[in-house]
Amino acid sequence: MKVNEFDALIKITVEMSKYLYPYIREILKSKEDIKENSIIWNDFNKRFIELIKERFNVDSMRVKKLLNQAENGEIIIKSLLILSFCISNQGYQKLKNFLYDF
Amino acid sequence: MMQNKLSFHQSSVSLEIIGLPDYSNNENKDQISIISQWKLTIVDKPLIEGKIEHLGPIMDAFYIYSNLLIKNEIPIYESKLIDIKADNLHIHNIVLKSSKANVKPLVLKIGNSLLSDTINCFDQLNESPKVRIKKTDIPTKIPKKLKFGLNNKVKFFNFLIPPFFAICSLILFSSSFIYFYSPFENIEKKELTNPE
Repeated sequence: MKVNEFDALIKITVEMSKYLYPYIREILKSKEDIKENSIIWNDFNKRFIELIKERFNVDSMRVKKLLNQAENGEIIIKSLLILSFCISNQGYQKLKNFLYDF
Repeated sequence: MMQNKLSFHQSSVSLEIIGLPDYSNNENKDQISIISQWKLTIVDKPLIEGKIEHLGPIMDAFYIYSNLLIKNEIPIYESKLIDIKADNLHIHNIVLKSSKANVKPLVLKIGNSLLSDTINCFDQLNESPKVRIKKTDIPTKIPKKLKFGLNNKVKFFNFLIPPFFAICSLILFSSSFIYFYSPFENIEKKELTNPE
C-alpha cells in the first residue's frame, strides 16, 4: 500500500469512527456487563465473523485467530477502543500513532 | 468580575471549566487562561473536582493509562494524585487521592465506554481554542523504561527468538542422525568377516 493510500484510509477510518461513535460505545458497554447485555456484543461478533469469512483468507493463521470466538474478544475490544479514542479533530494523528506503535 | 464557563460533553461524561482570561496577555473576554475551577461529571458516579494544578496530571494519567491499555497487557498508572489500574480489559479502577489530610481516597470503577467518553472530553478541552492549560509535571511511578522502552524490548526479543529457534531445531535435527543406520559400517564389517 502506498503512503498516500494509507493516509487516506486512516482519514476515512477516523471520519467513520466519529459517525459511528455511539454504536462503538454501545458495543464496548455491552461487553462490560455481558450477563445483562449480551445481545449487542453477540450480534456484533457474529457479523464481524461473517465479514471476515467473506473478505479475508480464512486459511491464514492470523485470520483463524480472528475467527475464533474464544480468542478474538481482546483484539476486537482493543480495536474498538483505538477507534473510540480517535474521534477528535486530532484523531487522524492519534490513529496514525496508535497504528505505528501497535 | 464575571467568570467564563465552558462545558465539554461526550455521551455520559461532561467537563466544566470555569476561569478568567489573561487580560495582561491581551486575550479576548471569552477566553479562559486562568482556570479557577473544574468539574468532571460522570453519570452515576460521584462528582470529581479539584484545584487547577490537579487537572493537568489527571488528564495525563488518563492519556498514559489509555495508551498502556492498548499497548500493554497489564496497564497500571500510579502517582501521588491518582492511581488507575485495570480489573480486566473492560473495567478500570480509579483511585483519586485527596491532598487534604484525613480525607479518604475516592474510588471509582468505570468501563471502557466511560473511559473513552472521558478521553474524548479531555481531547475537546485540549483542542478548544478558548482554553489554555499550563502543563504541570508530577512524579509518576511508571518507570521511563516501561513508558518508552517496552516496545524496544519486545522488538529485541522478536529479533532474537527466530535465530534461537533456528539453531535449536538445527541441533535437534542433526542429533537425530546419530542413531540412524549407517550402511557403510555394515559393508566394512562384512568385508572383515568374509575376506574372499
